[in-house]
Amino acid sequence: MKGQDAATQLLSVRGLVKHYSVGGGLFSRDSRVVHAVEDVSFDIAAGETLGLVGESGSGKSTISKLIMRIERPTGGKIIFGCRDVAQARERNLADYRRNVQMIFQDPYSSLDPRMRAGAIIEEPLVIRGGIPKVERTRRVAELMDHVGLAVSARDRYPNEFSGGQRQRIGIARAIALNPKLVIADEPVSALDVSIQAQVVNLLQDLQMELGLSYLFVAHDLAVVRHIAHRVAVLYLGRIMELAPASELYEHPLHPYTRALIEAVPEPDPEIEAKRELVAIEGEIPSALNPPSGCVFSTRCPLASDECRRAVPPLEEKAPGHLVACIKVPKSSKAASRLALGHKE
Amino acid sequence: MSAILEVSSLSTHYHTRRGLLRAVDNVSFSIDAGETVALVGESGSGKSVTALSILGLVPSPPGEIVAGSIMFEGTDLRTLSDDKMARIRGNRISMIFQEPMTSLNPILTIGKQLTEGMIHHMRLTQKQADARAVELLASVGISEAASRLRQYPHQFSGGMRQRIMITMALACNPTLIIADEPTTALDVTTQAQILSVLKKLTRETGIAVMIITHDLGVVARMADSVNVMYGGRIVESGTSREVFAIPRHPYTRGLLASVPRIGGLQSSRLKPIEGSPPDMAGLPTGCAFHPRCPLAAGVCAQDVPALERQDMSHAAACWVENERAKT
Repeated sequence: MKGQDAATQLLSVRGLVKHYSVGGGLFSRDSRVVHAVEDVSFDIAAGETLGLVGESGSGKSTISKLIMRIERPTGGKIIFGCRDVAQARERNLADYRRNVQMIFQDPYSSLDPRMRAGAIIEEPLVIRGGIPKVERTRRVAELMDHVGLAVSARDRYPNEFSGGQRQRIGIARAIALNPKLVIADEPVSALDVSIQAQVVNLLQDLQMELGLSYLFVAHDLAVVRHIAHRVAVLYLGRIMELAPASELYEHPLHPYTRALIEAVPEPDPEIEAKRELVAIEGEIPSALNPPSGCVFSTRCPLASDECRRAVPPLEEKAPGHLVACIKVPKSSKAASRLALGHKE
Repeated sequence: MSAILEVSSLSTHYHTRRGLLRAVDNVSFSIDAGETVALVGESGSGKSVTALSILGLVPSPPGEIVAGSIMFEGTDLRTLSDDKMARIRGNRISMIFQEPMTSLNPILTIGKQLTEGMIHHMRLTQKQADARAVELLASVGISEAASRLRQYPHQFSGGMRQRIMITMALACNPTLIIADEPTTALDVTTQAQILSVLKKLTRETGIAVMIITHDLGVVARMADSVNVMYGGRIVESGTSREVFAIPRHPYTRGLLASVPRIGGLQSSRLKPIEGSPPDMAGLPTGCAFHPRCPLAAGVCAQDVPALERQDMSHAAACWVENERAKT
């Protein structure tokens, strides 16, 4: 990644690492370590949506927790506005917390059932302090209108709303303080199919109106293709491939990305009838003992001894298209562009 | 082909504090031998209660089958005693559920759970049953099956447990497997593995499958024909190819238009179905979809449209569409 980019990016993550020790306690003899996130780097520009896809155990939720600073990284940098917040103390995070908000997966458990909708949306404004009650009330009405909720519903409790409406409450709350970055962790996967599209459209509208950036974390590759500008594919804590969305889905280069895209059933029996399904074998290995070299080598149809020797670097194989696989050749076009365009 | 399962005018109601819930309302469909049929719908559409009704597992109270017949291999399952029904379940009709961990017994070995049914239903000896279990485990892609028989469910991953559920479902040579969201809890590459195992084995053995899912992609991959459910009723039914190529019900059309696609041309905006799925305790009058329907006319709010066949195999329950088909 080019050093000069960091300044124009809203968020730059560099070499992010998170290890959990299994034993945990002071006197525990279990010294094993879960390698949840290993050497993850990416940028998010202002107004951009970066999709983070991966299966369970890929580390995608850990990454959103690290960026939210719900957890402290073991290593690496989280640079937001020229400042590394990876190890910052809580009292120095107030500004960061205002600018980075989260939308959760489950609109049923993420809202306090004893609070009224209006109060849930108002809470971040109260916590921030210094905003008069009249102004807060006006802002709550504005936010509810913004996310497509009737302002008259402000005194209702979460259980009086449908799943889609609850997710709108969560979204209104997340944007209450005008954040710059919203981390959406599986924001539509608990919703009915006919409601998912409503929420996806709302997120896109809000991005246009407010210039928001999203880190959109999801396992549903089709939703991510639709909403993300660029997509990072994670496997066992590492980025396998990172590219503009259309490029990644139309010309996937990493064997894992290919297998992942091929595995998704399309809602079209004609396509499915023609599909010769070669599902990749096996399952994701344990993060307690990740394979040496390329972490995908144990399941990869292309793997050779060389793959097991060293972790493949995430390299630009085509313009803007990063792949961590030694079997993928650099396209000559990409190489020449790099030679011309690189000013470092 | 002859139908092995024929559900006619099935209605299953739940008596709740919030009132009468018509979870399944006048549902009819059939499954031919060796055929895979999907029931597709969103939460509360009645697809799972339809399955429970067929299996005789509707909790009563609060639930009750109030009308209809369920003909399976020439017998109306509704007329059978609990004992007789228990003999069909797990034997002639077997089940695969969404969460294998809750359907497998955590304190019994896999071998014990797999062979129990075979010994009970097929009158095999333990040795014969073990041999069959090993053979079946190998066919669903579990290696070193013999030593696996002594292991417990927690020693397997989610994908492996679902393979074991498929093995259990196949154990007694059933005529019909009912699979309720069999891959919903699994990752996409594991889902692909499970779906291909299920497809291969049912094709080879000629076992019919009723698959319940909310995922239109799973329907397209697996099912020969499909019944689309909304508000406790079937609103469209036909072969998968017909229903996906020329959806006749506005709800089916809305669903297909609202799902993002992984391939092909991308539109800049999704086209959602406005509004929310209905509250089953207060279903709209007439067609349950009418408050969300772009075509809704006056009659739609008054009377329930019948599931009318437009041609041999394709039917929709829509006043506007059926009127159009006649002219």
